[in-house]
Amino acid sequence: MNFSQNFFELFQLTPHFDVDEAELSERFQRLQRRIHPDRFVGQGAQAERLATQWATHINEAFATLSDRLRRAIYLLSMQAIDLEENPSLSGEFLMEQITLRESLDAAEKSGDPQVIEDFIAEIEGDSEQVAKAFGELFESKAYDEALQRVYQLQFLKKLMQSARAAEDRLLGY
Amino acid sequence: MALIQITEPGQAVDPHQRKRAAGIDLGTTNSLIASVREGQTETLQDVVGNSLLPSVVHYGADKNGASEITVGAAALAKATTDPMNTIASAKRLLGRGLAELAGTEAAEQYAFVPVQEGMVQLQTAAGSTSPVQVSAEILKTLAQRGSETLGGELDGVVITVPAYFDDAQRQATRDAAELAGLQVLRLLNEPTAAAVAYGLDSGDEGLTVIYDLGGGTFDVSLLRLSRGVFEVLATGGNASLGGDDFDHRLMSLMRAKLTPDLVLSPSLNRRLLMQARFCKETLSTEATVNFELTEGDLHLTGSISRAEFEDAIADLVDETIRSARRVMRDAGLGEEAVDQVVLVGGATRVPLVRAKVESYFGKAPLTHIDPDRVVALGAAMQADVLVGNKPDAEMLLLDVLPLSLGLETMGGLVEKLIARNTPIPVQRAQEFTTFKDGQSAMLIHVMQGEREQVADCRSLARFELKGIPAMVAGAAKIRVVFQVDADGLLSVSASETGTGVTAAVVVKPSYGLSDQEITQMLKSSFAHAQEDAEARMLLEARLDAEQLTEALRSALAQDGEALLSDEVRLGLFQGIDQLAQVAGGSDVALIKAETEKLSQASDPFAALRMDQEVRRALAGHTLDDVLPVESS
Repeated sequence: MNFSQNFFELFQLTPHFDVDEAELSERFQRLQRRIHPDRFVGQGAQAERLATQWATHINEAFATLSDRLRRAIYLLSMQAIDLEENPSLSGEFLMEQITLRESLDAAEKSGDPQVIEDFIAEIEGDSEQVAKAFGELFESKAYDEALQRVYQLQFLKKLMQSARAAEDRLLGY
Repeated sequence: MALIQITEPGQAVDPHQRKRAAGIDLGTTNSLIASVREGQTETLQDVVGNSLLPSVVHYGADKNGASEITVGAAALAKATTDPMNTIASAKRLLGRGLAELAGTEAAEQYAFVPVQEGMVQLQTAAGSTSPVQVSAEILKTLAQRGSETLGGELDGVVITVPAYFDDAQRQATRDAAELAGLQVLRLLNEPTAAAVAYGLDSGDEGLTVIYDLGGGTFDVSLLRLSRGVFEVLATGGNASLGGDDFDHRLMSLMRAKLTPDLVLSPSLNRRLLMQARFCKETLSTEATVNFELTEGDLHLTGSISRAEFEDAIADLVDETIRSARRVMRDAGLGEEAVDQVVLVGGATRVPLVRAKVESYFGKAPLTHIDPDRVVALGAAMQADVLVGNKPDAEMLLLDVLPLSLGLETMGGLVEKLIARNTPIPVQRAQEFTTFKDGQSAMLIHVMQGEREQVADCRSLARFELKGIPAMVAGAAKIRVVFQVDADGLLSVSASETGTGVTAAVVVKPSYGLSDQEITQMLKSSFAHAQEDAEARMLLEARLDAEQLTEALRSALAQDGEALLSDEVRLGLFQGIDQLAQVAGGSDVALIKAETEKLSQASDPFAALRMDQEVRRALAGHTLDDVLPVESS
């Protein structure tokens, strides 16, 4: 198996943060149409194994490129920039996070799912802005600053997960 | 062990080569088999014209004590007179342990064998049996109907499972098929099968919700259809909620109305349950229904109104709507984005269900394909494609993992490796480390479920990684890999990678059967007497060998010169000749060994061809497509 191509090469796209999601999805389906294990059923263990490996790889590539945060991390890794485990973040950003955490707690205590929904929408709005900033910084090769945006996105994603979990508890899922 | 056969689009299948494929809906209450014949997809009927086979198996013993097994309507007829030996709704027991079933209806109804671990076993007049064996009996009966109708043994089947089935339940279904001697092309999620039947029927595109309330399980899935691709976006539900629960609620209501104090005999109880089912069906069209129960001098009558029934089941129906809401949320979409809602499963005939679904989605659900048959029909269409009868079919199903998979970590918490609704097949790896100096083993506990605590999730398997070289705490690197295949089945392996010393193990779920158990069951079953089994093994070994040599020949003819050196090519041709010679003999082990040898020798060639296939998939784009304009 030749998995040496990067994910952008696999989909024959140039590596940018802005990707045309419809086009990406179209190419993903085109690849899966040819390579999905369903196309090799009954052709023996070898064929099914190879097809499963390729289909798994294509799924992974698609999942990486279609998710904002994962795509950002992947693009930086292509520039040999890896994430630190304990990055230093600006005091201002950390204060903001603490405030957001507090308002999430308050939202859950309110017992009203709509309050959490509104909170989620707010975080989504913030994430979009940070992502946009990442895109611009990355294209202008300001990788160090772009990396800071990735850390921020990670924080916001964790916050979003906590908000979803709080919503689950509230709705009894 | 064949090499990849790549069929070019437009290449027709020789009608004599058409394979016998079928779709099987192995349901909680009823099961069906369907097939595509001369372009028409239809459910296959038994000799008296019934499509539905009641999913009931009766275990009896004749005068000499030999066991007698009956399946379907004949077994159902014995349900009231011999309730303990008549196993219905076995699907609810598949992949389940004794502890999980404590306090359920099934636990009251049947005699469970007290086993310490593993899947539940039932005590019957014909000895103990398992839900897998019960399911295998149903599958055998359907397969026989299939081969009689289609004029020969089936080449392959697609079996449907609830989307919400966990790994143990899926594995149990696969085991049942193996026990029934069936070649499973794919396990297909029931809602996806229904979407195929509706999608291929209408050719519609867009977002479809499949609301599937069967006898014992509830599934809701959101799919996107575009140009033959069925992409599952999110799925959810409840693997132990269904029309049976409506019956039991109705039965309690009826019992309360009759004589609250009376203790009913098992047989009277079973008859009351059947009356409840009848009342439920009648209440779909009538406002009230009368019922009566007689045994000896006892003569009881009563009546139930639809309003009373709806009141008794309202919370169950609300529960399904909650699941639907969660699926929409998982997909990040609002109800208004949905283009069509499809109802599947007999229990969706209940008017309250239709009303609540319509009110939540704000549009009238589609029901024009018989909700009892639609799953089997969709499965048959998929089977027809998978078996190779339609090489130029555009259809492709892209499914997801229904429940998150993870590992137990410190403090009884679950760390998720693969989140629910991740497209399959998928592989994820995670590194762990040792927490004690010189620790030489690590326990890996595989979990499935959404909750954070181990106690709230399902334990799929436990295994120990041994032989970790002595190191200080935290120095070892234990890499755990989860692989989920296109059937949604999981395999897990673990290895210590830091020092290059590796130990790996592939697990089967704790509630599954071991390969030895399956072999043992196959040997002891009637259909596979000892000689029969040996002849069958030889036949299968020869078929595998033949399949491999045929496919390799055609692959070499197509791509051999382009992709291989003369030396390698010659080697493969020699391998083919050698295997052909061995396959003429009757030494099963030798045929298998030679087949494996050739398969391994041809592996790099197969991989090269697969890589080529990937390159070709995106070929044909214009240069502008391939290189988007540089953004400034």
